[in-house]
Amino acid sequence: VTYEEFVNSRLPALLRYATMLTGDPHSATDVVQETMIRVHLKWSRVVRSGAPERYVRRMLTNVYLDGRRGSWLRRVVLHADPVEPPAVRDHAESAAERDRMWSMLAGLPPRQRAAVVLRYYEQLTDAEIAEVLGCAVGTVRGHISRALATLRAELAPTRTAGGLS
Amino acid sequence: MIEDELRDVFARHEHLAPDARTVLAGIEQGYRRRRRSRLGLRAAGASLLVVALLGGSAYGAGRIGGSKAQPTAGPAASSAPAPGKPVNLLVLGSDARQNAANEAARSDIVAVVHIPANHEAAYVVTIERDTRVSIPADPGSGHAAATDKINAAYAWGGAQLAARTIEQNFGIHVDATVTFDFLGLQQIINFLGGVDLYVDARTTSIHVGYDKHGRLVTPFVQGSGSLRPVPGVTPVVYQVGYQHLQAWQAIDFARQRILIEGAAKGGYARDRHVRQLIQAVVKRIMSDHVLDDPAKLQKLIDVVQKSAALDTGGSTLTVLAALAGGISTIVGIGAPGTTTADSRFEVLTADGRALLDAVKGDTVDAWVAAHPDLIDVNH
Repeated sequence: VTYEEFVNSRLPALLRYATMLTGDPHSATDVVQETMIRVHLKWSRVVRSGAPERYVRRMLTNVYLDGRRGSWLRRVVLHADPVEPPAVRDHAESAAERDRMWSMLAGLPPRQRAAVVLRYYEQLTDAEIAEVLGCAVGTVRGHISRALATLRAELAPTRTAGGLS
Repeated sequence: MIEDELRDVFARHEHLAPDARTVLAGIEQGYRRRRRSRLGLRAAGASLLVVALLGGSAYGAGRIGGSKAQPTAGPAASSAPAPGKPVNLLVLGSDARQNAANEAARSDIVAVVHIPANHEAAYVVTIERDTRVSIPADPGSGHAAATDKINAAYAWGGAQLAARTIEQNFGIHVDATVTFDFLGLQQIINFLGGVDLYVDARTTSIHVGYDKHGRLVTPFVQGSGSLRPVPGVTPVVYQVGYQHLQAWQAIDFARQRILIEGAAKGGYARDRHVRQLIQAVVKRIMSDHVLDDPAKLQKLIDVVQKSAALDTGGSTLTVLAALAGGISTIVGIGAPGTTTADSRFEVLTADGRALLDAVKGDTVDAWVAAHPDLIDVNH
C-alpha cells in the first residue's frame, strides 16, 4: 500500500476518530495533521510494521496523549501558519454543545477518554485497546470502568429527577 | 445503558469531523517543510559527529589546543592522510532568545572553521559580529546590497547570504554552513553532563542572578546602551580558574559580552569564550568515551537532531564525511580587529586581514607559526 492510497482510504476515518478523542474539529485537525506529517515522513517504517492502520491509530493516539501534556500544542502554536478563519457554527454544532454526555467526555482524563473511544466508537477489543495505549489489558479495563463510573455519577442527579416527574 | 448512550453520542457527533481535503493540504505543507528541516538536521548531526571525530584524533594524539600546535612539524606530518582540498565551514551562532519573536535573529557568532588541504588541523577563526563588510544583494528577501555589520547578513538572508558575504569580502570559499543557537548547544552540553573549562577573565552574568529567596532573577535591566542593576539581585559571577560548569552555566558564560574583565572589547572576549567552550565540548565528548560507545553516540546524535535550532545548507554531509580522522589539533583564533573612529563598526587590523588571506590561500599554518601570541592559549 502506498502512502497516497492509505491517505485516500483512511483519512476520513482518522479524522472522525480524532474528533471523538479531542471533542472538537480544530484540535482534531491539529492532531491528525501532526500525525500524518510523521506518517508521511516515516512511511517506510509504517509499512514495515505490517499493519499500517493499527500503527497509525497508535501514533495518532500518542500525539493526542502527548498533546494533552502540551508538546504538540506548543509546537503547533510556535510553527503556526496564518490562522484560518473560525468555522461557521451551525445548528448541529450548537446542539452538540448542549449534549451533556459529549461535554462530560471532555472532563475525562485523556487516557480514560481514549480507552472509551476505542471501545465504544472504534469497537476494539480490550486486547487491541491495550496495544494502542501500550498498557496491560487490566489497565484498559480500569480506565474504562473509572470513566463509566464518572459519567454515571454525573448523570445520576438528572436521571433521578427525570424519573420522578 | 450507558454503553449504548456512548455509542449513540459518538455516532451523533461524527458530522463534526473536519473535511479531509482541507486537512490534506495542511499535511502536505507540513510534510514538505519538515522534510527540508530534517535533511538539514541530519547534516548537522553528521557535522557535529565529524567535529567530534576531528577532536577525537586530536585528543588521542594529546595535542589538542592552540599553544601546543606545531603545524609544521611533529609525528602527524609523516602519517598524514592523503591530502585533498582545503575545507571551510561557516559556523553561525545566533542568540535567538534575546530577540523578540518578530525580530530576525542576528548571528552573534561568526566563525570560519578552516581545515587545510593536509587535513591535519582545524582552525576555528571567529570574526567579531560588528565587523564592517559589504553585504551583497539578496534576491530571496529583496534586500539591496549594503555596507553593514557582518551579523546583519544572516538576519537578512540567512546562512546563504552570510556565506556569500564571506566569499565576497574575504575571497574565502565556503563549502558548508552550520547554524546553531545557544539553546541547542545547551541541550548538547546538558547531555554531556556539563563541561570543564578554564575561565580566563572574571565574567559577570547580566542574564542570571539570585534574589534573597534564592529565586533565579535577571540581575540587570538593559536599556539602549545602559545597564542598570536590579536592586536586591546578585548576579552570577564566573571566577577566573578551572571550573566545572553545568549546561546552563556554560551557555550563560559564553553568552556574556558586556561584563567581562580585561582589555579585550566585549565582542572579541565573547568570541574567545565561545571558542573555549567549543574546545571544552569536544574535550568532554572525548573524555566521556562517547565515540567508543555506540549507544552513547546514538544518543548524542539524537540530542543534536532534536535541538531543532541546528540547520545546515547544501552538501555538508559529503564535504564533512571526507574529513573523518586525520586532524590532530583544533586551534582557536580570533581575527584581530579594531573599532572605527565613529564607534559604529569593527574593522580588521592588518593582522586580521592577513589571517583571512591565509584562510583564503590555505596558508594558516604559516600565519599561526608567525603569530603565536594571537592564537588561543590552551589551559
